[in-house]
Amino acid sequence: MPVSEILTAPILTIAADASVADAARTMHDHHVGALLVTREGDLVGLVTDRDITVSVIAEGGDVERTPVANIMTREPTFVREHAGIFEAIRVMQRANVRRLPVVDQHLRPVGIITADDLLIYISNELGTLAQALFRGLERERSELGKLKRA
Amino acid sequence: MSISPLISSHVVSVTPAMTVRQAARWMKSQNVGCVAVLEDEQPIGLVTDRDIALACGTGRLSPEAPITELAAHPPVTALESLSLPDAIATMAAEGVRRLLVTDGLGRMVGILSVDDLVPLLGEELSGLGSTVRPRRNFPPV
Repeated sequence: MPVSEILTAPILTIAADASVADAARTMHDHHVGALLVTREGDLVGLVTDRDITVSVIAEGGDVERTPVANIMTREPTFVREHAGIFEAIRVMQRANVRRLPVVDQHLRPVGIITADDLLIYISNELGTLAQALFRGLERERSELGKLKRA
Repeated sequence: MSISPLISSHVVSVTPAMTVRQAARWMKSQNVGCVAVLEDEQPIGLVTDRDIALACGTGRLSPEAPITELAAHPPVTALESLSLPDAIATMAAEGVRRLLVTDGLGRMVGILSVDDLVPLLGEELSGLGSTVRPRRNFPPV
């Protein structure tokens, strides 16, 4: 299963020279915690809600005058859109991050995969497996019941 | 199984008199993503780095405002004697990823978070996996 099929967040980017306030408004309006930062369409960074709190608010910075480029993580670790989910988990482990930009073959951003996305996907798969076990048991009980009645 | 042995007792707290900016600095220095607002040892709110970013980053709240402005709603709490399935059900019903855990007198004793439960459940699942099938290498999915 490629990561591109389980992305839940909309593809949201912000220009590197946009203000931190613009980034906060975009995160607020779209209910996301991170934005891909681009310069002329190329991925150059990742900015999170935490970056805004610890790098600007905590330090007494001005959110309207601080550009996103000043607080973003530069050249973040990313995965390609065709990478499998287990590969994405391994990349997150190695980089010790819980969000990864997802890029296409031209390294253009197509989204962000989060640890939460992966957890929800795997949990749903486990739930489906549990259903299969439960239904198998139910079917066996019903077939045994028919045999006893026969 | 009660949640008591699963909770993290290291909870970073702030007082209601602190400003949002002071709380943000405290979060940064303690390297945590949320702080509990305590009054007489009892939790009256839970504030995350996201709450601060969205309120102050968008200009809706001054960083010099009291932290209680962001802790307007009582936090979702759980008694330390609560069972793990009930705690998970509470998280699901309330749509929260953290529960502030209190004793019988309402005093905070720790925090239970999804981030603590996932590794725990993962280990259990891994243990179960090794009992039902010998180890083998799966092809990439």
